[in-house]
Amino acid sequence: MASTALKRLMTEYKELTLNAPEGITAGPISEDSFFEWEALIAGPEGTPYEGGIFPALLRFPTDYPLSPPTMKFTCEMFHPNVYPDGLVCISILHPPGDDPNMYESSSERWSPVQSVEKILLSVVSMLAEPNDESGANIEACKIWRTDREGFNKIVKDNVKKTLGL
Amino acid sequence: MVRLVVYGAVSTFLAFLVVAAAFRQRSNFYAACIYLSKSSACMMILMNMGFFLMIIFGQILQHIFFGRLRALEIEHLYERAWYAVTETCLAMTIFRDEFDTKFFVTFTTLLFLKIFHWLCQDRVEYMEQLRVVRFSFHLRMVALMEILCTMDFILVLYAVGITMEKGPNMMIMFAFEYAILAATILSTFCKYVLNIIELRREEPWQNKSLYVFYLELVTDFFKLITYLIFFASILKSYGLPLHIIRDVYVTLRSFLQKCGDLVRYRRATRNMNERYPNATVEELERLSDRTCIICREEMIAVVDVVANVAEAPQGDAARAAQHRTPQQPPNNGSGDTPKKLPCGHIFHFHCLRSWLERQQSCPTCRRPVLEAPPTQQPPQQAARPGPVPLGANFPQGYFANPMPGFMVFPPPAMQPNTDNQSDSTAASHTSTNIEERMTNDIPGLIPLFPTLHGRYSTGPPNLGNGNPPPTLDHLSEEQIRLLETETREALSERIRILHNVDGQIYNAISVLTQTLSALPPAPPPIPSNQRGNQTQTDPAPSKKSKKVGQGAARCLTRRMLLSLIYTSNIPQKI
Repeated sequence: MASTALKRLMTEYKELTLNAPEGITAGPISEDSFFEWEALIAGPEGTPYEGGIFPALLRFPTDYPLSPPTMKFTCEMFHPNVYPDGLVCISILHPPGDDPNMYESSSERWSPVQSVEKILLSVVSMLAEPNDESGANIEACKIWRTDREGFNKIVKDNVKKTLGL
Repeated sequence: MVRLVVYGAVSTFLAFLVVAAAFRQRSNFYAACIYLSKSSACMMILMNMGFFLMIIFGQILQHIFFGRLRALEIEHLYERAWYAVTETCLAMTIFRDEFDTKFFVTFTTLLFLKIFHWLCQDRVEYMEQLRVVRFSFHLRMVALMEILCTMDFILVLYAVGITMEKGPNMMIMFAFEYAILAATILSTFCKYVLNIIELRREEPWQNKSLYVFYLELVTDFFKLITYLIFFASILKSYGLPLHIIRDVYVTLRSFLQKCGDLVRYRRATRNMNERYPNATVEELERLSDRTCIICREEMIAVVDVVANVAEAPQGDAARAAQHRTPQQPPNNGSGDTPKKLPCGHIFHFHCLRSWLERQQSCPTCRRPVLEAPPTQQPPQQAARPGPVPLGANFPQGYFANPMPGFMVFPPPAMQPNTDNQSDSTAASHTSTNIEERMTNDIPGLIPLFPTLHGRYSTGPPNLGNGNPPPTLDHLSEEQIRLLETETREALSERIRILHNVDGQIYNAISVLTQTLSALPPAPPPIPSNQRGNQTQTDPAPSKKSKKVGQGAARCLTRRMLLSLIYTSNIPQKI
């Protein structure tokens, strides 16, 4: 017996290993469970995140792809759309229907059309262009808006930390 | 772990100290006990010790029943424990008069049991992710659920007994809490059974999610009832139970939402086989990517349908297909049958159904599945409102893409017909019907492309019986869908017609442009000018009136143009 979720995750994994987009790798953490993945995201060029490699944990629900996975950075991540505990807050990771934040239209939310690859690409573009209107990390939002230099400095320090420099 | 050890060491040390001091000061055991229970500081330390012992006991139990906890379980545990504790703090405000050691102990027990209920829930859910479930897992889970269930029932009976005996007191709260816990554990057990059934089955179990849904609905209903009774009883004997408002609200909302979901889901899936047509081979071939986006597996058209489509061009076969298609038995393979939504997107039958459980909209384009009754219109056409009415002369589906030319010069007089058009997109109206209405709406309107009718009716092979554009009245949904199929002949015929129309429109546009250039310039808006001259001091209103005047002039030229179009013999020129 293999559930739809498992089959689909395997397919996605295969596709990701065959032709992975630049700057992104992802795969299950262990052979036992396909429902927890680790992803590595390279900071996009031209942003303060450039040069960093950011590990994140993707957790898939058993009814994937009907429900979205959650994504959590396991390193320090200073970004307006990432909660201080590392949880990524982007609209495509929110289940459709009940809107917890009351401002996203359902068209930008999760649907089975999305995939791990698309999520990771969205996260890369989120790193490049934070959305300070729906901040998850209020402090980061504030600094990003008012003091871009300071923001860049904090991020660059974090990058160095994640690289162990 | 280190923190726990330190905490344990400190607690043990303090407790030992207190007890030793008591026995040193008092002569006998009895006096020492009295001393310990009278001093609140001593009681605090002893209770702290009890708390620590409980944690240790809990950890032992956890190792017995769960082994190592997963990160997710720990996260959930903290999250839920946080809510539980804050809510109990609110509860304490109600029962502040009865706040004593007993309350504290009972509450700790409740929290202790709750934690195991949560863990049990999470673990049963985790079962679905495991590929191989060991025997020890089953043994642990069954034993745990049995113990928890028994405990819940005993405690409910105990709490109810005390309440009956002494009248309403804080035990009411515990009675209800345990009742809810019992409901939770029972539903967890049902889920466990469902999971086992799924594990035993060879092929994926499509209906499982439905059963889970019903199970959750029943559980929610029970919880809601319990909460409401509790709410009422507390309200009666104590006052507003603040701590439970959130729970009642959340349960109520989730219940109502589930009911709504159920209704919509039932509506969307009631007759999925008839409501959503099977995708044909041609439709699948047209897709660049033939995987179903939900399960990412390839979709293969059902052969039975292929036969129907092949016959469809020969006139009556379409009607025959009508009788065949709905009767297509929901055979074993029907789960993998590609189904087409009204918007044209195609998914596996079972993938689509499981998605419709969550959302009654297309996963790809999010168009609601339910709002509009299924039409045979491709999405691009429906998405573009307005200037398509020219196409209304023809049976629908022949203009898969409205030409950009239509947009350039929309004939204004036909605008009243846009509502007809939207009607026709919503529910397949007959083409002649629309034509009649058009001519009725605008007196003197000559159908713009009269020559086309003859050519048209002979052309498309789908219609094949040589009559003028047929009404779609007598055709069933199924047949209309078959008409829409993309055979080679149909396609080439369509392209030819479009070329024709293209030429005609260009002619019409050039004629109109000529007429426009021949028109005299708009008559000067006299009243506004006069007023503007008279009232120099107030320029703002004059500006405004000038604008109005210009608008009127534009209107005038437009109307003149229209009358020109409809009275002249442009169509014949074409």
